[in-house]
Amino acid sequence: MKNILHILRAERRWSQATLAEKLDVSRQSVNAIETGKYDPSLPLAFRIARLFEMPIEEIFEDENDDL
Amino acid sequence: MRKLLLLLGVLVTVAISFLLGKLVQAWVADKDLPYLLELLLWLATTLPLFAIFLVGRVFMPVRDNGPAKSRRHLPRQRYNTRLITFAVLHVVMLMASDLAIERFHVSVQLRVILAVLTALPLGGLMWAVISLMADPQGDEFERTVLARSLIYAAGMIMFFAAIWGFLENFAQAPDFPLYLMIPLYFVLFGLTQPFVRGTYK
Repeated sequence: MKNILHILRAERRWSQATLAEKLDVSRQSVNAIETGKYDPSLPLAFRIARLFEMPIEEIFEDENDDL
Repeated sequence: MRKLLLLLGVLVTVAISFLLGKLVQAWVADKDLPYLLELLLWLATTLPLFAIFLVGRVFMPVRDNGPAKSRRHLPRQRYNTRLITFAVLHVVMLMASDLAIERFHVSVQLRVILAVLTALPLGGLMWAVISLMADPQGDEFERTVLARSLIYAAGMIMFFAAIWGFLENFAQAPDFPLYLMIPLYFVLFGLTQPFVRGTYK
């Protein structure tokens, strides 16, 4: 799943470790999500959305949104 | 580099333990030592293996694989403690049972009990891994990596068992000691993790 997490993080000049700490996950989690290789769980996606004060669908782009 | 050093350390300590085992075997062969003393001698041969685990924990502390903040390393720490506890229990039971059967006339019923008691800590090892995977304080990405590694390792071990079974049937291959399945499973579990992590980079 594509996302703009790295852009949002860069805008705030946060490192992956800083973002990981704010989300209470590992730095590896942040890295895997940013590269689009790992899709976060729904609770984590909500935490990310709340942290950046944006709707989930503005951060994550569903590549199969035919429905 | 640190991981390579630790691997080298593990190989060296396995070799040292093996050599110590041979030394003890040769030394006790012509002596009539009391059961407990001989058991302690045999247990001493495994000390380098546990020493390298402690050295690894000192020089390679669990790094940022868990959730952030103070509870970051708790699931891994719990896992390490359980792992070492069950490993020690297994080694003690294995050596005590083996030596008892060799030294004394042990009834079949007692042999069954000893076999079960020796295997129980191995079940504990499996429980430790599953608990790590299901730990609610754990990191969800870490859980995914562990779950995939466990599945791959289980698949490989079953595939290996099937191949060896046919080799035994068709090509008179020697019997594979089934109790080695769990140690082999743990080795495969460890080896698959870097590959699984690599798929997320």
